[in-house]
Amino acid sequence: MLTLRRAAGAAALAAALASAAHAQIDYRNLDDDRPTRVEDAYPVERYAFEAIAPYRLERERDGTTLHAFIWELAWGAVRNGQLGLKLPVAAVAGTGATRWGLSGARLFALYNFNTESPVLPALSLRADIAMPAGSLGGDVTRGSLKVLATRSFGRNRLHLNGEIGFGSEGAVAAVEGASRWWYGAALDRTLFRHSTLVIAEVYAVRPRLSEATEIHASLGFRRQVSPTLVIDAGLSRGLRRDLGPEIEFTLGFSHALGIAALMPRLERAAGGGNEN
Amino acid sequence: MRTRGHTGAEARKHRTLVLLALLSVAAPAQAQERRDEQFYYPGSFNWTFLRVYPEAARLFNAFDYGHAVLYERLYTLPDSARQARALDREYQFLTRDLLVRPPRFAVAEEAIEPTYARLAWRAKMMFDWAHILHRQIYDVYADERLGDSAKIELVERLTDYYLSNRRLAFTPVPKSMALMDEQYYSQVFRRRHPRFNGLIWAYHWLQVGLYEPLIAGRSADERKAGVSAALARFWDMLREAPANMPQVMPMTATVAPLFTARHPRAAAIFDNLHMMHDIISDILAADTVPPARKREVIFAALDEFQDGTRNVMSHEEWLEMGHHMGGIEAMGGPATGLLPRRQPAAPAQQHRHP
Repeated sequence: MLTLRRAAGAAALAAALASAAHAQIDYRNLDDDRPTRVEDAYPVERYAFEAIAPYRLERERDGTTLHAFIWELAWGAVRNGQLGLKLPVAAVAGTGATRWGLSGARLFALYNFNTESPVLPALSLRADIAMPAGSLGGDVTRGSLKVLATRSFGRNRLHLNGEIGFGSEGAVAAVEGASRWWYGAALDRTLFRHSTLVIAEVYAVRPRLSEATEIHASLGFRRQVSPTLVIDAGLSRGLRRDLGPEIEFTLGFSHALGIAALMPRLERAAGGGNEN
Repeated sequence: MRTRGHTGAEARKHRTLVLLALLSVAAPAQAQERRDEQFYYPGSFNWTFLRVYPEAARLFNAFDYGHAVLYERLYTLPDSARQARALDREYQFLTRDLLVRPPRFAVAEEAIEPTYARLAWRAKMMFDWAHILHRQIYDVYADERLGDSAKIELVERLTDYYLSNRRLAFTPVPKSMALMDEQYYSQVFRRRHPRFNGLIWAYHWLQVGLYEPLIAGRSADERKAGVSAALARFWDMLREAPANMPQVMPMTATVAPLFTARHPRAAAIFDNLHMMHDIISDILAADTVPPARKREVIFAALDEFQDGTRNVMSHEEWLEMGHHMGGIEAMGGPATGLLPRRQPAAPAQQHRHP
């Protein structure tokens, strides 16, 4: 069984690898699972890449412990839209031996229809496909469709997410397996002088049709630690007796970076005088 | 885990709900304003200014708060007495607290001006896009690894990149001052709130003036000393406000002639940006622009400032404009040739932000 010390060491290694990249200030960019399941309705900026290196520790009520490193890369491929890839590596430690392995692969796309207006919140649509890959990746391919909304109230924002899953029943991935459905709400507050976002959420999830609905509550924060690095951490717990994790802890690092070769070809415009 | 019976009907219900939600939001959302954020031009020079000159770079973070809170108060408090009280509190907070202890990183303006951002997202994005160009040019000139010709070429490339985003770029052609000073809503803000207006002009003086010591300095030490002196001059402006503040809008060609000679397109962009700052302040403050029309009038002005074919000045007229406006002294004075004076004193009494 993995020890917490080993897990913390692995998380530190993940952070060290991630910090080699360049990024932009994005502590208010609330990504899914960073640190809450509910995310905001905004994609990464056009041309930006965001690399995320998180660690998650989950203690189940049956005594099982799950460790997960969910590597993620998102790319602002089009204006107001992003493509992404998640490659989770997990370790499941029960009463017997610890099992390590890739826990499937997930491709996703998010498109933002609008920014907030006096009437409407920001609205986005996200589609995911979770594929079985690796020893902990399950044996079914599942898809999901998610609607996201974000609305500001002063320095607070309310985020609403609702997702429905598609595909056959079967063994799903140990982590990042698509649920049958889930919906939730998160409230965050911006502490602008400290470049910190504090977040609370509650959500209901039904992992499979044969399982009962779980209700989870989480608390977390995101904080800018350099112009190019955001750290996040969160705690979550299942609220219904015997359902959901006893406790879940997550720690992650996010970087946004650009690649000059992928930027638009530049032309020199005249200026400094009358163009007539 | 506890299990229950098969509930396909329930899954279908949830699926239907999500699809209905999709259909109900997608069409009206498409008719709204788009977010249109774009990443800055990558390169190892980015963030050098913050690393080498943190005392100046952090001040700009406080400036962003000042701009944002100004628009939020002007728009959400149309009553002139309440507006004046709110701006007075913000002025005290800025000058006694936030500018003295500015944030390490950029302020999320959307959190400071949520109502204004919903009203005029495009304006907010155009300002952000120009501020990124501002910041990246400081980064280039603060990067001691780059030679002078490399700096010049890189700034021009950054300007090309800025202009390639046509949805958000100001024209690199100097626009007529009449667009700022001779409209039916013009000059309302500066007359009603002269001290806050002077603070904004002091910001703009420093934002363009700081390029001068970075270009004029012949060594890293000279550049550092020059930046310190310009910062000290900025703090002097805040004493006995608004008497020491700029009396007219600082023009880039006048305050930063070295920068303007090297980078006329960027200099014109910054003048257009700063004029647009003042124009939006006037539109938001003016009773002659009813609340229901403010967005429309702001957007018309944005259209004008993206058009390089009309209401423009010739290059020569633009270079002469500062002289006609009262010269460098009316704009806050020169940004080079200053001796370092004093750093800001710790405030005797911190102002608690509302």
